[in-house]
Amino acid sequence: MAPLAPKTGDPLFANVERVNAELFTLTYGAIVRQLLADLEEVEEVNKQLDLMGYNIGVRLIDEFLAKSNVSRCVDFKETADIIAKVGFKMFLGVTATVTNWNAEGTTCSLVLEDNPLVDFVELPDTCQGLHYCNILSGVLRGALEMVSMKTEITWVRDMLHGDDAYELQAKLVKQVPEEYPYKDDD
Amino acid sequence: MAAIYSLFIINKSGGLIFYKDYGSAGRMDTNDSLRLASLWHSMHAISQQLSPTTGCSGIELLQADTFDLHCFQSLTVSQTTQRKGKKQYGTKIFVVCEPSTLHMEGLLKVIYELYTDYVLKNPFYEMEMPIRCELFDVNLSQAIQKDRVPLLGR
Repeated sequence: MAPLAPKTGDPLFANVERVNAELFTLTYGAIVRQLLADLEEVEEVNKQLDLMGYNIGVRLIDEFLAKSNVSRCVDFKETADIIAKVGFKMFLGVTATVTNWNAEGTTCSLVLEDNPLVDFVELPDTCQGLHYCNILSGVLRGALEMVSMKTEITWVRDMLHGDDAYELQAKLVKQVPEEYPYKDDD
Repeated sequence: MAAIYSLFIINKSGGLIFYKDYGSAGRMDTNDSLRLASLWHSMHAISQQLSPTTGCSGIELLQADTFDLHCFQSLTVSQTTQRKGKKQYGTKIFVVCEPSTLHMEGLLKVIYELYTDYVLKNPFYEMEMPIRCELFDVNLSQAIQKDRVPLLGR
């Protein structure tokens, strides 16, 4: 009998192999520093982080599906819940909360109180436009695209810019329908 | 005793990316295995459309007199076919085994996990390309060996 899909990520987080949190934080910091040195433009670095995250996301989604046993989500609301409770927990060890749903249920906010990527980080004045955690927006975008959801993920609040939490806005642009008409020959 | 004859992994476009033969009879050459993979991909796709109910995810089990074929399809689909607006398929893992072999669904899940760990996490592995990852081969052999004894509680 197949195990039931988890409602929280805690049992999964306990079972996956974990790495030292500081090593993770420092490695990510080194990547961002190097990108800034190589690309110099803050916007370029934001774009590059998003692209790197995208490439991670397209591979990460299979691991998430394999290890978490979640079945196909009924709607975007369920998707957002699963990402916040199970996905973030499994990979980052923290849970997010889902808020700010719009009327159609296509846009929501994922709020992170705790973010392991930014421990010890302070942004200097020269990098105020930098979205330090932009890799996360890329990861979400890449992962969701592989399960037929085209999304736009943007940062609304960023503690490194002085806000009180990290808030990602996830907007569902297009959900490719599963059922196709019989004639789909090209 | 569980006897697995062969294992196939098909990418999202229907191309064979991994083939391993464990049985002694019916050994196939490369071309035959490629042909069989494409054939299975097409049959699997057709089965989804033939289904009298909506939401069919394709053939999971094929039972013949001399073998059983268990198939698993991932929920992930290709990005490029999405852009072209074509029908999308997941990565398929299927195993051909002795009739009435138990726990094959569990084995397929284990192989899917090995795929996500040792193939997808390899930064030099190109998506949708043939799998040439030694770690995957090693861990796969271990998983298949363990399955020689019927697994409980998978």
